[in-house]
Amino acid sequence: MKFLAPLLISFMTINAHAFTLNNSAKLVFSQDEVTVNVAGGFCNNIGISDTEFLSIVGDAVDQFWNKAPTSRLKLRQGQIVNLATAYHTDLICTAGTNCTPNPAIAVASDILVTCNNNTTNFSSSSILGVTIPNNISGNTILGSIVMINDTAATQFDTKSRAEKVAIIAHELGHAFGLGHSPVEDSLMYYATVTSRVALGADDISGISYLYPKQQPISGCGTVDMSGKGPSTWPGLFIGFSIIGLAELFRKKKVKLYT
Amino acid sequence: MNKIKYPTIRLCVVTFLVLTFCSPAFCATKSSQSSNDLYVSLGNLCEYVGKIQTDANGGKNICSFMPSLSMNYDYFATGDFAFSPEIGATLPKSGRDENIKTMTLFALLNGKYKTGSVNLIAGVGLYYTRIWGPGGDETLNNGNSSDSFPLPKDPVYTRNFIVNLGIQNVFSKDISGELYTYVFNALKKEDRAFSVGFSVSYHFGEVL
Repeated sequence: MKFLAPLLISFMTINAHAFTLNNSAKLVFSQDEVTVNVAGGFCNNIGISDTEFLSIVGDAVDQFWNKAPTSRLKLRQGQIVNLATAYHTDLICTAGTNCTPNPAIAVASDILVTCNNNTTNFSSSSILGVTIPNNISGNTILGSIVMINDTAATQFDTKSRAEKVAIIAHELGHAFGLGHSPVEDSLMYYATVTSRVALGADDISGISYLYPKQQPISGCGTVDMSGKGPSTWPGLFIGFSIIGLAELFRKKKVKLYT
Repeated sequence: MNKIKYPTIRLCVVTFLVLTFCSPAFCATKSSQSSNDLYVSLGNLCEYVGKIQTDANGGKNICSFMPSLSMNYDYFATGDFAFSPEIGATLPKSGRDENIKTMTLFALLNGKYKTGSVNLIAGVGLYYTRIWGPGGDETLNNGNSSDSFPLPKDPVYTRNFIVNLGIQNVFSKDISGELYTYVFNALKKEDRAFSVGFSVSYHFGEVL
């Protein structure tokens, strides 16, 4: 069976754009590190505790998105946070709009993953997650919300742990600005596949397009290997160059006197 | 929590030190001077080996077709040791999504240590990845229906500081072959990656 189930991962139509981008405005977080928090106490039907939920989120960021070598964006596992029940029950979009984010559940910063039991958000049990950047300033994402299907009919609880990790990783891709990919070896493909173990080439291109890594050499100072903090590489590099040049001049000098 | 570990960086530094300071040229007052050399290489670069999922069953990449073209100039500081600056690029190619194009550019400063017909190479450099698309929209499945999705348009460049480790085998005065690896994010385990390449070079000799 090629797919475990059809259409297991869905995304709100209004927000869905492939790598392809989240939308034509190219929305991105401004910071290089984005924390992913989990709303506590809301997951009643998906069969996992808050602690396990947070652990799955941690695996989703470490196993997938943080491994992109050409992207500066790093997602960090956050903590379990206590929030109003609106995050568990409300619509993700304001009713009667073309998906204007519901202001009652705006995420102040970073990414929030929450269980949600609203049957309008999850009109089908096969829809496992919906995601929207719901706090935006210009082209900058301030906060995004990921909702996991916690309705009574949810199919999320039937998935293996590895599948849950991949599903949440897929939704996190939407949260930081990616849409769907047309190729099934990409995490951002619209459906789950037999085995999801790593990012696809399209995923790496997508996250790198939105968050290109820039490792500069700044004068004689630092080479930024990690996006923060200095490195010893320029010193080594310059040191070896000086040694080489000194040796070259020494040899020429010897030749001159012989 | 990811801890930063340093085995790769240690390996790179030690290798470079060994190549540099174990060279007799740095100790001896007399050694045979090698000729400076300009050469052009044609090969293939296997990007991010073992890092990319390639099918729905969890298979990962080993090597895909990604032709590379580069040019080096060996400038011998001593009889056995040369500085070998290199510039090169890979040909533009489509991503898994045919609408997405990528190509890479790289500039390296290598050190090269001659040991008979085999040369050891170590260096550092910058590796640029250019990503762009046609703009417009693409219609894709969106779960319960199809939808139109915006594609990227304006090119974006990523820039990585890389470590290069390689070996060169000289087949004749004019021809050599190289096998090398580019190490990305050597200091950070979480997104460290390796690209492996091989090439065949034609040597023009001391033309500069």
